[in-house]
Amino acid sequence: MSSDRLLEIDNLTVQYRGDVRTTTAVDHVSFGISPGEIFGLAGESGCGKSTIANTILRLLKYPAEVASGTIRFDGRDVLALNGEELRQFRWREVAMVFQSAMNSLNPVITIGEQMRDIFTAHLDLTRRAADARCAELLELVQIDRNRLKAFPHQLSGGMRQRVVIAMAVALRPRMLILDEPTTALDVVVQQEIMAEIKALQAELGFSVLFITHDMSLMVELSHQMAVMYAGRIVEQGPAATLHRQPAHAYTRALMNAFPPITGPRVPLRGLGEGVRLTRVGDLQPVGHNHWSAAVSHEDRERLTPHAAGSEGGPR
Amino acid sequence: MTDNSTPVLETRNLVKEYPMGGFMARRTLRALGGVDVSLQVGEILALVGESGSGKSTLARCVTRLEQPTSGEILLDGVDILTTEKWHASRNYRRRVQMVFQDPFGSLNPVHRISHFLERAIHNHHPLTGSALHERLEELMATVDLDANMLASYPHELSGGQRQRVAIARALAVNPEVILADEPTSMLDVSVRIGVLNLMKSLRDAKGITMLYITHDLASARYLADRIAVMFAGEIVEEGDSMEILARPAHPYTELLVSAVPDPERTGSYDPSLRAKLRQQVLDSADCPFDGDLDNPCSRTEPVRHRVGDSALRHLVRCHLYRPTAAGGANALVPTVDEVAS
Repeated sequence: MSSDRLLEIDNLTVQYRGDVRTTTAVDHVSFGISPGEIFGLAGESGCGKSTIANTILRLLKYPAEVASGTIRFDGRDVLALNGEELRQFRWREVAMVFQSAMNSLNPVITIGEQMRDIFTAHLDLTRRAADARCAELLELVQIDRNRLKAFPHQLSGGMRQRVVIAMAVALRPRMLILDEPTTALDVVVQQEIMAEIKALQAELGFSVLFITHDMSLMVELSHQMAVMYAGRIVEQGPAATLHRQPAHAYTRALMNAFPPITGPRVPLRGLGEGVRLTRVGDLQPVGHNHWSAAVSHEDRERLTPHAAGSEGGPR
Repeated sequence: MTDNSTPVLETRNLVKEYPMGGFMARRTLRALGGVDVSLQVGEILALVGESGSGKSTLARCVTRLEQPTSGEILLDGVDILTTEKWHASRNYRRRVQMVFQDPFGSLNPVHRISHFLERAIHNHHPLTGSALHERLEELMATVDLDANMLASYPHELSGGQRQRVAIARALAVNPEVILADEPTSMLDVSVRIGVLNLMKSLRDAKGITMLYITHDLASARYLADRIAVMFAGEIVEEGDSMEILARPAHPYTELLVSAVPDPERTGSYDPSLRAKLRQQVLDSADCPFDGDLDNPCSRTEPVRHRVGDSALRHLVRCHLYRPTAAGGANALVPTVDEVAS
């Protein structure tokens, strides 16, 4: 992979260490994100998507630790940043919209005060100057500036989500991490929020690491994407290619986990017992800019449709 | 509806208003504005609409968790709002069961799984000893869970397993109708299809009638025979689920369909245009289902139009709808332009 990437993750392994056993949440994962690119990371719960996001921002806490690998942001080693450097790095360089972000606002403080914190803490602005910036920011996400005085419960779910996104782009970061930004919202609001993010991205030109389990949404939005399974990347490539010609059985299964909105109605199988992989091999090139993990022989046997197990059983 | 058989469950002109403001304030919020829904025996009807459109209020009224302001709820042709004016009888509760959205909140964490099922059985047709135990195992088998899990606590189960327990609890009393309020929206992608398949198999095997409430059109299309689209407390369009998504006649339905992410559309994806369409639908003050800002269509009673082939029972409620010769795709759109010009 070339070195003009904004973010370069190389061979990253993250483990949760316990007294009895150690769980490897992220297992030798490598990928890169170019400036201005939207990179999608797909996979079901527990596959390590959010752990990667937390590692980039150095938010991992005991018992999680980085066992091997490097994360470079614009050439700098993120894992080696000290306290003050880290403070400068977070939010100014990389900002994040957390999962269920609408609940991450403090319910007893007005949103104006919460937004003001960003400017007073990072830019040392006066309260008056910070308030002016907050108002601009709200208008950027199409919310009336009077709403600065509102408490989170006075806003709808979609508006709260917009406030959180506005807070994430407040310092014009060069990269935005979106961890399931629309999971709790209904389709229409979800689509509005994604439009908002796209418009902001066009205006401010940041890169995006977009984490979701909704493959359709991801294919619509992302340039590049990777599919994760049990801490490993099973397939990686341009989103359109992955959608048209998924090379890995798990990618196909994940795409089929959502019923389509067009075409004939066919019975689908969940991602239950039928698509468990025993081990995920290393990525091999399968086309231009497109890699897929090798499937072991016994997995291939089990994954062929006619030999598949029960539909969507308990995990 | 022009069906010969009596629907198992039907609402007629159901209205629910919530008082707004403080004590003595007269303002009300109309959550349901005269809803007519009917469920034939063994049918799955999906009720779709965005948050706040009144889907859950309808389900809560039908299960008698809320008292409707006016209207009728008919079970097998009998209006239970007159026969059971204030409380639902135990018999009604047995026949109409509900599955809630959040399986993490609907199971009491201090009880074992067997408790939830036993309690439901105990309240309705008591069994004891080995008969009870057999029944519990049978229920667990019906929802594809291991009988050993009866001794587990809810926190030991995954979200999908918990939702299956919630379905088993509803099944314990042999209901005729199950209302499922967004049963999959809190679940992980890997188990959603499993729960939908389970609901489908229950209908196929036991003939249970279901009202599936969701905002996910794709899953509604996958599971349901018919879809009713709800907006601002009213049903604006209903019809065969394949038909309604292929030929949405109401602008709001069209908007919902266009909001579903579709990878096939990657090239022409223009979310801002669709967001604008939504704003137009939402901003119209007079008519809850008016697609055009400058021409509010709500003057009097809304009417229902039949769309296309009448055998498909595809109905739309909008003054602006005029059937075209083609009898289908986007018949409304040219009409709006006509009015505007």
